[in-house]
Amino acid sequence: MSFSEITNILPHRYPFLLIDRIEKYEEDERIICIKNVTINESFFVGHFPEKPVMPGVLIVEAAAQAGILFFGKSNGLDSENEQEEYLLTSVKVNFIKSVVPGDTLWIEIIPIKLISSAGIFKFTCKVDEEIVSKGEFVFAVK
Amino acid sequence: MTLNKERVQEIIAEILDVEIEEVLENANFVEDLEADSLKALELLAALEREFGIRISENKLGKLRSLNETYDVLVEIMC
Repeated sequence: MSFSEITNILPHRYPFLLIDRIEKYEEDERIICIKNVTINESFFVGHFPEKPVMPGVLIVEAAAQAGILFFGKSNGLDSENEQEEYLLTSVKVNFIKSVVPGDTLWIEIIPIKLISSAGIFKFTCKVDEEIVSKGEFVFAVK
Repeated sequence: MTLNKERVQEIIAEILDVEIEEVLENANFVEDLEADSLKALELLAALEREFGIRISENKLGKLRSLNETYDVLVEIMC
């Protein structure tokens, strides 16, 4: 899948576009996306100068963006449509392990409930097959 | 699972993160229990899971209080 497919659905741009690749999409079932984390990320400048760790809220943001990609693809929004506005309204999350420069974050999103204007999703983020965070979120399309 | 108003009340309390006693029959989720409107979607999903039913999207706006939610369930299940 090409990168333009991601930017056609997601309104996010640098430095807040947190998905590099859609690895797998199964209709109605799941999406798996990748975020490559490098030392050049702008947030590592301050988080933290001596010990770079990807902020947990940005892991949640990456998962939410993967959720939007799932939602967009499910609703056929992956062409030249006008982009929607998305609002994250509720998050439950556990952070299990730190994500550091050099890691590849594998984000799997499974829909729990989808309606035309919102969705509830479960997410699991892994690095090297190991779970680094997992949780659930709800977002709405404005 | 058979329909039971006390169980519906428990689920609402759990999803809205309030005490069961606060979920009065006509307490409005948004105005009285400070829920945001998307809590109705979480509630819908939880009720579907609990009672093994499908609640259509157009009923979402009717999940406003315990009584109104219960009426929706009665309509579907009874």
